[in-house]
Amino acid sequence: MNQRLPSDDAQQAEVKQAMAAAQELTLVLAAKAGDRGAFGQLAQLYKRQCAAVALRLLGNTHDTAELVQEALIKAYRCLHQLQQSERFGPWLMRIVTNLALNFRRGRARRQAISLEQSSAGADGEGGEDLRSTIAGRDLDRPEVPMASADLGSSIQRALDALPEKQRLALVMFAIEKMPQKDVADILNCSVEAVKWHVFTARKKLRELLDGQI
Amino acid sequence: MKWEKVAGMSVKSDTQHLEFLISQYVDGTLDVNTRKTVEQELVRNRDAREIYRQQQEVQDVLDDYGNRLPWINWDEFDKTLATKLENETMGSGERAWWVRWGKSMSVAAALLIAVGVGYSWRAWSGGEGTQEQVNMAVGGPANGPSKTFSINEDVVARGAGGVGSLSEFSVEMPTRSGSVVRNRVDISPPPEMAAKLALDDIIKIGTGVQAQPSSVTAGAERRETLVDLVP
Repeated sequence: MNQRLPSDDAQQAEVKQAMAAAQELTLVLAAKAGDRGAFGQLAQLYKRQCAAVALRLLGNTHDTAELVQEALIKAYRCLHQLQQSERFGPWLMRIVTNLALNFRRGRARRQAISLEQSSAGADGEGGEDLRSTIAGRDLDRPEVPMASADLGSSIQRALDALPEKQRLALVMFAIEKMPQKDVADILNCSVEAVKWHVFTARKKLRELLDGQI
Repeated sequence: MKWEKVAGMSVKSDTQHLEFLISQYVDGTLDVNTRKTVEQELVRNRDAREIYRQQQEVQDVLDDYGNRLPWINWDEFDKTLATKLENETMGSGERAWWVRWGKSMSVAAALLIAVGVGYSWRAWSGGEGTQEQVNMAVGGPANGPSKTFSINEDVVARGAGGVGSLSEFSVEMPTRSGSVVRNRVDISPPPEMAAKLALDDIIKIGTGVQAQPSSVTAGAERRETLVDLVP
């Protein structure tokens, strides 16, 4: 009999997780000691997760790549300020979300100004491009088929319409599968509040996507 | 309807609470006992099953959406990042001391200015400090840097005059707005001292000693603004 029990898998997963955490901690400590290579490895570990969260918050790939670079550079500059070295991941994600939110606010202001200018002037090509951008039609997803891309755009627009904390909780927990405790740390709220934000966000999202799912 | 608080927010205890529990069931974040309770509810309650179906449907869409990775040229990304990191120094993100302390310093400076302005205003418009300066004016010329006190001649005459005749005097003070403020200082003694002072006066008259007002702070101060006194 060589049957494996589910508890064996769970134990193995825990051991793997603990080893990964220890390895990450070693890299963080080395990076803090000035090892650029160690920081490069940390960047490799987290860049995709950072990009995924940034993309859900920003809505386009070009800004996402720039923002992730900015976040990683900022993390490198401020690494010595990280008190709990074992919490590098949530700390980095907080930098990403803060930058993304600032970027969104800046973009909203720029769009408001451009809209005022375009409505004041002649209704040319620029105005149409801008309106289509706001409507979410230029979300670049070259890797996604057309029908699926439409639903993706609808989801992105629905996410954009959610209140900030609900959107962040939904993106980080329900989409990117980050641990609730990490999300709570990033949002500076309790785990219970994260659960509540996810619940209300999912409910609103269903209303916003009514007929499409 | 019964309400309870979840994370600082009010939740209806029936349907909404059940929805909230099912949401956590979908996420797999319930403890064992609550999970069993929800499962029992799902078995016996059709509405609960419908709520579960809806929430799971949205989560499936989100899972599908989450599986799409952003199209980023990672090779290019890594090269750019490596170049940028080469030019960076750890700790350069730390703000300079004057930036970190700037806020505290600006608050302290604002407080200092406010106190200074308040003190100057009080002195300029005549508060507690006026009476002291009035005393100086009575004794000789005022030596304040920005204020000129003029004492009515008749008041001075009265002050320097007969025995016990001075019960009030006034000081005129030009203001920056062009008007003149007249401070009337009542130096008549309070009633409880009046009998004693009257007796002192009688004694002084009897001994030939001239009575002088002992203090200008004994009485109340009145103030009136005389407009257009200054040409």
